[in-house]
Amino acid sequence: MRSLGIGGWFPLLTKELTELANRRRTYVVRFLFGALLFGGGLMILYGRTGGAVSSTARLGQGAEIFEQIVRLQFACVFLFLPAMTAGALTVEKERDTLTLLLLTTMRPTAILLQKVLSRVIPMLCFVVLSFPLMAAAYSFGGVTTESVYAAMWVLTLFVLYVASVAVMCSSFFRTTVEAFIATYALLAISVFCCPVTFIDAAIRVQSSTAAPGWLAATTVISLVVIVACLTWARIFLVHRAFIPPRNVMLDLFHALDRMFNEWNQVTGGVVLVKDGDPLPGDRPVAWRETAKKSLGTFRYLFRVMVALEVPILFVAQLVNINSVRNDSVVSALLQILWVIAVAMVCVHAASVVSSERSRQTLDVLLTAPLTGRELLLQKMAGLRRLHAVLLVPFTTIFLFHHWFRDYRSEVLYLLLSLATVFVFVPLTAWMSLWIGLKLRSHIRAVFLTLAVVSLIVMLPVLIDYLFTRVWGVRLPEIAQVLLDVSPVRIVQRLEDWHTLKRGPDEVDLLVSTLEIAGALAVFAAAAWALRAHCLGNADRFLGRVAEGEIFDPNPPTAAAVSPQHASA
Amino acid sequence: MSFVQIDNLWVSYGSVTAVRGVSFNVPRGEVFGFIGPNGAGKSTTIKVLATLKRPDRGRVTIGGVNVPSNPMQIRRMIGYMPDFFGVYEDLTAGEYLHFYAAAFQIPRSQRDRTVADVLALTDLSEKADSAVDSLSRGMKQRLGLARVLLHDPDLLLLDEPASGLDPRARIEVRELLKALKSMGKTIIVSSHILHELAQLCTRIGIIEAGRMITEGSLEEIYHSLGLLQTVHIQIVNLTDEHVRRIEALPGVEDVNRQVDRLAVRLRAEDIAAEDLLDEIHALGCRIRMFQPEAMDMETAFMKLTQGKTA
Repeated sequence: MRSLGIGGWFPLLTKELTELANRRRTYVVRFLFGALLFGGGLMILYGRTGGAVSSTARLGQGAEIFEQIVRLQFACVFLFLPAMTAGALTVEKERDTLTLLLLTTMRPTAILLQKVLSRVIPMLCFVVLSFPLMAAAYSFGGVTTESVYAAMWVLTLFVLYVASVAVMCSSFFRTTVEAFIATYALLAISVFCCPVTFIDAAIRVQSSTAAPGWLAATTVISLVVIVACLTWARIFLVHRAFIPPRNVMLDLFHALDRMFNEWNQVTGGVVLVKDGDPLPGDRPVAWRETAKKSLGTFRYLFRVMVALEVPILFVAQLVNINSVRNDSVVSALLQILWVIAVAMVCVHAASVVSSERSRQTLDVLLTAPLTGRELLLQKMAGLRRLHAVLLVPFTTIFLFHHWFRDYRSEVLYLLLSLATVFVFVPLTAWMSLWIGLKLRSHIRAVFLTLAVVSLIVMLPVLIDYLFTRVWGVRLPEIAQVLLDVSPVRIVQRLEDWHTLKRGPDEVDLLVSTLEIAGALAVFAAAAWALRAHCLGNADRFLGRVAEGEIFDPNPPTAAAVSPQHASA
Repeated sequence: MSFVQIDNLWVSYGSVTAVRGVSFNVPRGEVFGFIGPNGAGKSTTIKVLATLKRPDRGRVTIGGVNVPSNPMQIRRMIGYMPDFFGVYEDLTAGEYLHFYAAAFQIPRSQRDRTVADVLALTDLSEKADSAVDSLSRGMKQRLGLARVLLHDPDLLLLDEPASGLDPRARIEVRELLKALKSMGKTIIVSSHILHELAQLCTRIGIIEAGRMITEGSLEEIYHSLGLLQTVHIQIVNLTDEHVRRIEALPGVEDVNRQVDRLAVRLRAEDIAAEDLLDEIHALGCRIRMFQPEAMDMETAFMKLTQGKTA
């Protein structure tokens, strides 16, 4: 940038790119992106025909390979870019440096565009990484030059689209975590709701006569959205530059409270359930977690439960009256419920201590005469309530399966399914808390927790797919058993319980039951061990002197560092 | 016996040694001012006393209790206010104090009265139902002081209690600290606002690059450095002869004639301010104002420190 002599024109962009280049995280992300892209790309290239097949056998299959590579590119951009961009402006707000930026001679529009470019440029560099894969697909034939150009254009549009949505959220919200969640939520809604999809536009060029229409429609719609997002971002940048830190979810619940209270005047102000004591009793930290937090207060958790339960009951009723032919849609709901539950538990548990650190409220709390163990247990009070609330929709699904699949007196399915919730949710919670205790930054704690959980969930699936489907290699028995007792496979196997139960071999059912029960016992032990580790080292993790620690005022090792020695 | 005793304290963060052999004592009921540039080790020393940082070596006791060995006992004896503390956005001032009253295990039956008392002492009674987040910075500092008083601790550890406050809020905090001093509390306070410490502290310690440079009462430091004290005097019938004769008085370093007053600089070890008043009166001067400056702390600080960090 400096060598081109344009650093003076775009000082913020230069600074951002220099900072990115100086961060170790940039290279980690680049490596992960490349590994995912090329790992996936090679799987696509060799998976279809196998590594042993000659090149000529693959001729003509380029179109299909190309399509999958493009899909993979979209997935990578969708996965990485929001995380890279959501903090573009919120980080400045969190560090109180946005004021200084706005006081410079740079216009807000210039600040915004340079921030967007600072995220788009590295991502476009990542996109360029896939060109060799596209070239390989092109070389197999069946891919037109127009398809390649169209894919490149739509990918660029998609990068701009995601970046503009993320930067809009970043300028609206106060914290990076809020902006990150909002970006993914908005993108997920836009991906599901928009009739013209980027992927369609990118891959239909070669397969449809209506392709130019799709491409044009996608271009126009996405450009309109990009301009709209950037315009809103420009407005928010100035108007929401100095907003104090707020819990957005809590604000939303408070707004709902006001609305319900107005409606409630019709009934003469009937209150069905009152939230705990207005003042703390003997467990003040637990009181705050359960009376003041959005995911701890009873009536707010009740709303969360209703939001989760209603779609399940609705779909279950549709299945019941045969509007939907089989109950696989309920299984899909179960998977979605697991994703939502794990995400909520991760974010909440990773935040309980790390957010106190970020907001500088922890030191004062640590000088209170509460033991570290007591502090952590009280901090987890809100999570215990969340766990109890999540049990309701899970139990609804399990009971529905039990009834619909006609398990009758078979209680093992119910017991094992409920055990998954009783084991995996606390395991996730204690692991997230442990990560939150180890890291000083709230944002890092949340991101790392989500990344670790995603890895634990996805790794067995990926390994299984790579070895058995792609390379056709049979895994050793022990490895196969280990994969079968991974959390995802356990949930999956319990969903397939009916096929196993109706099978001819009862021994299979028994072995499967024992495997699942044994694995759940191991995971429960892991959760207990994590809990014991966190509670046992609570003071050290929290950052204060632990009770009962032996302290030597004149340690022998310190003798070497005498005052004279040090001053020298 | 001193209430707070620190002897050869060493503290490090990884490879960086923040405190290098600091020693000082604070008798019960005294106010100890901790002065030093940024990064000198003040906050680290206070954190050790607040049981938030384990020392590498050295002996630290409060009321005869070893701090690193008995942190829970110490936490009941101290009230700690960090240089910057966040607040819970979801609590009101009253709830905030009730929260900490419960955390400090004050019996439920006494909490209402205790909270009302500390709110009244810090002049925040009217703000009891206001969200903590909505309070001004000065009010938040006073709320912080109210919090540290909840469990009636013997020792107050105040890290930069007046930093970032406007003049009015700063004066309010200073007056509050004077009230606490009169209540017999032992206070260790760090500050950058030197003349405020001079008005408040009975002893001061100047720390730089993790080492204690000097420690003692204000007069001791003043005398040991040979610093000059300035006295502002307004004389109604002032003449050049009066000025010349004042300059000739023993212990007077120089006299600066200003528009409405004389600024007389004294060698404190040679003449006390009250003796100067008698001498000037004896010269036949009609005195309208006689105002000795508390202490030239800035000069002492600049003379003793070199701007190094640990």
